[in-house]
Amino acid sequence: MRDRIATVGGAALFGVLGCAAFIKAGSYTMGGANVFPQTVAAAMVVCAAGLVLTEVLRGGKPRAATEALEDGLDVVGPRMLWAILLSAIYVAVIPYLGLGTASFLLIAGGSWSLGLRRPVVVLAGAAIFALIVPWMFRHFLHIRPPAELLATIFAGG
Amino acid sequence: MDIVIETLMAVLGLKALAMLVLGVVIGMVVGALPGLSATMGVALALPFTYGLDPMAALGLLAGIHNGASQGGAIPAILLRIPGTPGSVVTSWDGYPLAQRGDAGAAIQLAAVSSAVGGMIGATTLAVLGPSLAAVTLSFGPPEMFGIAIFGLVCVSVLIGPNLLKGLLSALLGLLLASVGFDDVTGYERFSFGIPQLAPGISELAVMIGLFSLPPAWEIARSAEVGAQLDTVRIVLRKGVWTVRQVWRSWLRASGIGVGLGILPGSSVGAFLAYATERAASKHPETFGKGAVEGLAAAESVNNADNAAAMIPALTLGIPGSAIAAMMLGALVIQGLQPGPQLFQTAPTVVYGYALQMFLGSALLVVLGGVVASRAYAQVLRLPQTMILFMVVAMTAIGAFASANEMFPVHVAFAFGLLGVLLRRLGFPIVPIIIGLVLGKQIEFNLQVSLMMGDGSLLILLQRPVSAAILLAALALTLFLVATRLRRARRAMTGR
Repeated sequence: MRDRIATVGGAALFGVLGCAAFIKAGSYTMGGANVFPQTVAAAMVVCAAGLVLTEVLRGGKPRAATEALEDGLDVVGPRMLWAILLSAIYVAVIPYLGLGTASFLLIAGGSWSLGLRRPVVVLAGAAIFALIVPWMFRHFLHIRPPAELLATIFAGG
Repeated sequence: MDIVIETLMAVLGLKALAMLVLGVVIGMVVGALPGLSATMGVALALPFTYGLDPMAALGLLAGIHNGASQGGAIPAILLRIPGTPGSVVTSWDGYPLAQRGDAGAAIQLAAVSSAVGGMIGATTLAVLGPSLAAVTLSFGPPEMFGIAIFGLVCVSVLIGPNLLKGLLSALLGLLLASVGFDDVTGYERFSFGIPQLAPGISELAVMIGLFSLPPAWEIARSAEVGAQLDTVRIVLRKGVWTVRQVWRSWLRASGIGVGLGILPGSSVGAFLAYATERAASKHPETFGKGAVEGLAAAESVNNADNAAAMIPALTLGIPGSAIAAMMLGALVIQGLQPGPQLFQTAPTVVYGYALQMFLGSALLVVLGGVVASRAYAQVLRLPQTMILFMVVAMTAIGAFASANEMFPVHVAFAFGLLGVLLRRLGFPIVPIIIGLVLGKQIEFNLQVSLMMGDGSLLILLQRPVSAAILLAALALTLFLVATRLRRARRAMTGR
C-alpha cells in the first residue's frame, strides 16, 4: 500500500510540476524559446499520467520484489529529521557565524545531540575540521569564506 | 610520440602523482565507510579541484573513484556491510571467507581483482576512445541530438525498476537544464527574477546536494558499526587463492564490466558477472560460502566499469553514470569543453586521465592490500554521527566555493531535501543529473536541427545515423516495457 501511495503521490507531484512549467514556459514565445521546455513539461505530464494509470490498472495486485520500495525508506524517523533540521539551521547561520564557527557548532552539537558521548573525540574532531577545512579553502583555493564571528570579535576587541 | 611524452610528463609530475595517491587513499577511506560512496566522494572533492591544474584535478578524482570502489570491499568482507552499493556482491563470498579466518586473503584478492579490472577498463578507454571520438566528430546536430536522447533514455530506463519513474526523473533534469538563458535565443527562462539563476542552475551545487546530503542524513538512522570490528582479525594466510584459480574470472568479469560500463545507465554488472561465474564454475554450490571466483569477479567488474563508463562521456559527451557526469563537470571547471573534440584540443588530458585510471588501479594493490586495509578498517571505528555532520559541513563549504557566495549552498540544501523526498517516493536520482548535464546539449542540437530542416522534425529521421539511434532508443524502451509486462503477468499468475 505504501508503495502505491508513494508512486501515485510522486506522479502527482511531477504532474503538477509539469503543468506549472508548461504554463510558465508558454510566455517564452520569443524565437521559439518555449518549444523545448514546453515539450519536456508535456512529456512529464504524460509520463506522470501513465504512472498513475499503471497503478490503477495494477489494482491491489502484488508488486515485483525489484519494484518495491527499499525497506524502511518510507520512514524518515525523528533522528533523521533532527539531522535535517540541524543542517538547515547550520546553513542559515553560516553568514552570521562564519563557516568555521558554524561547522564547529554543527559537528560538535549535532554529534552530541545524536548520542555521541565521547567529549574529547567530539570536541577535537569538530575543532580540527572547523580549523583545517576553511583554512585549506582560503590558502589553496584562494576562496574567502564568510568572516568568522569570533575572529571579528577578537579583532575588534 | 610527442603526445606520449607530454602525457607521461603531465601524469608523472609530482603534483599530479601526489594527488592521484591522495585520491586513492581518500577513496579507500570513503569507500570503507558505510553510507558514503564513490559518488559522494567525487562530489565532495569536486570543489577542491578549482585550485588545481587539469592533471592534478583529474588525478585526485580518478584516485577517489578507484579507491572508493575497492574500499567498499573492506566492510563488505569484514562485517558483511557493503561500504558502497557496488560491493553488495563482494560480501556474498568475502564475508564467509572472513568468517573462516581468511579475511586477509579475501581483502588481498579483492585488491588485486579490483586492480586487474581497473587496468583493463583504463586500457579499453585509451584504445577505443580515439576511434570512437573520430567517428563522433563527423556527426552533425541531428546525430548528436539522437545520441544524447539515446544516452538519456538508456540511463532512465535501465537504472531503476520502474521505467516511468526513471523517465520522469530524467525529464526533471531536462527541465532544470532549461533554467536561465537559452543558448540560441538568449531568452531568460524560469529564473523568477533571481539573478543567480540567470546563467543557469549550478550543476555542481545540484550534484553535491543530491549525492551528498541524502545519504549523510540517512546515517542518522543507522547504528554504529565499529564495535563489531573487535571480533574480526585481518590475518593473511597464504594459499587461499591462486592466480591460476581466478584469472579466468578476472577476464570474464572485466569483459562484462567494460561492456556494460560503456552502456549508459547499466548498474547490474556485479550481479551479471557473479551469475556468469557461478554458471561457469564446476562447483557452483560453493558460491555464497566463500568461493574465491565469486569474490574475484565481483571486484573486477566493479573497477572495470569505472574507466569504461568514461568512454561514452569522453567520446560522445554522454555521461553514463553520475560519476561520469561529475568528471565532465570537472573538465568544465578546468575550462575544457567535454566531448569528442577533446581528443584533438587536449589529447594530453584525455590520455593522461586514462593513464591515471590505470595507475590508480595498480596502486590499489599497494594501497589496498592487507597491511593498509588494517588501517582503513579502523575508520569503521569513527563515530558515524560525527561523519554525518562533517559531510553536511563539507557540502556547504564545497557549494560555497563553487561561486564564493551562499546561493549555491541554498541550492545544494534544497536539492538534498528533494533527494530525500524522491528516494522515499522511489524515484531514481541519477537520471536527474544526466538530464541536467545533457539538457543544454539536447536543446541546442534540436534547435539547430530544426533550423537545418526548415522547422521540420523529419530531418531527424531523414538522416540515417540519427534515425537509427533514435529508433534504437525507442526499441530499447519497448523491449523493456514488454519484458516487464511479461514478468508482471507471470508474477500475477504465479508462474
